[in-house]
Amino acid sequence: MIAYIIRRLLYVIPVLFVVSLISFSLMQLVPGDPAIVIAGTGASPAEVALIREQLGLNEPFHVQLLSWYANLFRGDLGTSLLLGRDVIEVTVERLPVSLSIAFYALVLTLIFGIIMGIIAALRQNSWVDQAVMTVALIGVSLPNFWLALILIVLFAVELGWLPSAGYVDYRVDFVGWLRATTLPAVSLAMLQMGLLARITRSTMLEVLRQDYIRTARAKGLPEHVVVGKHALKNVMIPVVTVIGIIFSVLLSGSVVIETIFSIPGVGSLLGSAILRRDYPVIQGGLLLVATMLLLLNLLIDILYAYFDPRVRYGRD
Amino acid sequence: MSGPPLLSVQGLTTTFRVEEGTFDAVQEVSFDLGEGEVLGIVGESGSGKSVTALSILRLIPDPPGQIAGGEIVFRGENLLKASPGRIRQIRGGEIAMIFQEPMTSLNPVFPIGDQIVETIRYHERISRRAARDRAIELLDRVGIASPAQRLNEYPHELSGGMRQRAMIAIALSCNPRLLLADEPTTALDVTIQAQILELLSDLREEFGMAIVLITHDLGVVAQYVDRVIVMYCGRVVEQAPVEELFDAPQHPYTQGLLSSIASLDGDSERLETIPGTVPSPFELPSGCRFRPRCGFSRDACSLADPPLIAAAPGHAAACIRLTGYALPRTDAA
Repeated sequence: MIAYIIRRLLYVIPVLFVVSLISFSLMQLVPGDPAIVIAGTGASPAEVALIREQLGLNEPFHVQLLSWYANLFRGDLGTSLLLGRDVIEVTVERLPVSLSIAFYALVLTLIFGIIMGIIAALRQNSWVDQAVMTVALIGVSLPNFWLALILIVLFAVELGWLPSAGYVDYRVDFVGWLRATTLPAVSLAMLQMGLLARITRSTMLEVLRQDYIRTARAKGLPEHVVVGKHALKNVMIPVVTVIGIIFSVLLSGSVVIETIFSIPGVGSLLGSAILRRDYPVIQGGLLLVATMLLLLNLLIDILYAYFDPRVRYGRD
Repeated sequence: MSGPPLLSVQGLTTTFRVEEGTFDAVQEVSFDLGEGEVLGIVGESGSGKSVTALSILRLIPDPPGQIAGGEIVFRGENLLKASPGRIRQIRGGEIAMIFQEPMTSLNPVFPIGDQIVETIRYHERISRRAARDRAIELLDRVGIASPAQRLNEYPHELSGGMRQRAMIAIALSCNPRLLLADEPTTALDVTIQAQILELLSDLREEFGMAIVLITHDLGVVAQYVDRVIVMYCGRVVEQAPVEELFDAPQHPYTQGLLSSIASLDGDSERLETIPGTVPSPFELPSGCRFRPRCGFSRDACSLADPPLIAAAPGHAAACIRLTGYALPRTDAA
């Protein structure tokens, strides 16, 4: 098990390198000049050129890249062009906001997605199955920004149950956090919930046809043990695999959702940085988020080995 | 057979509903099994052998399958009328079952020890520790070396033969009175097959349990079985004590099966085969189901599907040659 974890950790290094290369290059390829944005609309060409000089934007690509890497190794991702603050600092202070919402959405996705999938599979072809699958289909079909607006109209404007915008730190006021993040989390989770319900349902149906399920019944085990123990652990193998993907989609979906709900998270930070060509924030923010997702996927791989004992020794 | 039978199956009919329609996978199957007796059920794929065994434990997947009629009386209790809770007590407790595919019959994500221990603990009030000790004993008894270590291994770490031994250990864990063995050696290498069958034979003497051994291998039947039922297209076509069946088979299908065994004497150059193939359950011929493949068929054979007709004490076959091609009026079985 330890060897397996170490092996997975070593895989992270080359991936991280590629990710850093992409995060740096991506914005260089996009048209637009941050110097013009910073200088403002009324600036003369000379002023723009000066700013460009100060930011090192005139250097060739590889020089810029190398100096970015040199700073990276010293733990310095640069300073935000617009906020004038350290990129790591700005990103890290907003991370708990985005992570807590994504995590909340993940919990909703897992609980409802898996339960819906299992119920649908156990009642295959009944009206329950059809109802659950219809809900899942609706979830998959609705764009999350549209769903967010509908939820705001319904629960914030009409019913007045939940706030339509803003964020409360969970360390300060947990109930307030729950109220502020429920609508964003539901908007984010709906699509993934639908997908997960479908995956869980089809996997469960597949697993229930397996010989070892017949064996479990032949041993005299009650049905809740047959399903809840013998089938479920096998169902979890493909489900765990997609959890990593689901979480990264939830986190990237937060760019739009955080903007709609005026939540000061990494998503809205990156969103505005992209609009205003704040290179260091985009590059550094992307790298930090990507690194986090990589580590999360590592965790998933470890979980995967727990659910499927064949993984531990099988791989070279 | 002295005293009431351990298991009495009477008129068992199990139907399956598929896209093409509904058919009887097993039709009007009847047999008795005494304490400690070994009954062989022989037939080709699709003859209804496995469905018969699964019906006894009510393990037919529903849908598409359903037990449509008959009685299955085990120690005086009709299992078809038993409550779900009672059936669970019997499954793995008084009647255990092992399957054809040891590769897929064990759950891949639990250590084999867990799979034995949980069976014991669902049937008996016993501590985890005691159940574990019993599991080690059982693994040792079924011939698995260093059982204490094997207990923590997963099915994929064991060979096919080892897995079937582990399955047998699970089956024996609660001292069943009856073991249903559904082609337990079909998926194994020939040398391993013999070991597993020897093991079952030893265990039967040691535990005094009865065995229903389902197989398509008449060689297996000859060696390990007391009495044989031959099935064809969901019906019993012949039943007899094993020596009788080999010495004086009455049904043309049984005769065909016997002559298609490769003999080591090497008298015949070629293996005999039964002409034709098993008909689809939706295109059964009128009258006797074996008629289109039978060398003895006459017009009378197409009139009705013959019941079992006594040929000798304890020996019956569903062939109207036994009555000189006259349709019998009563069931002689």
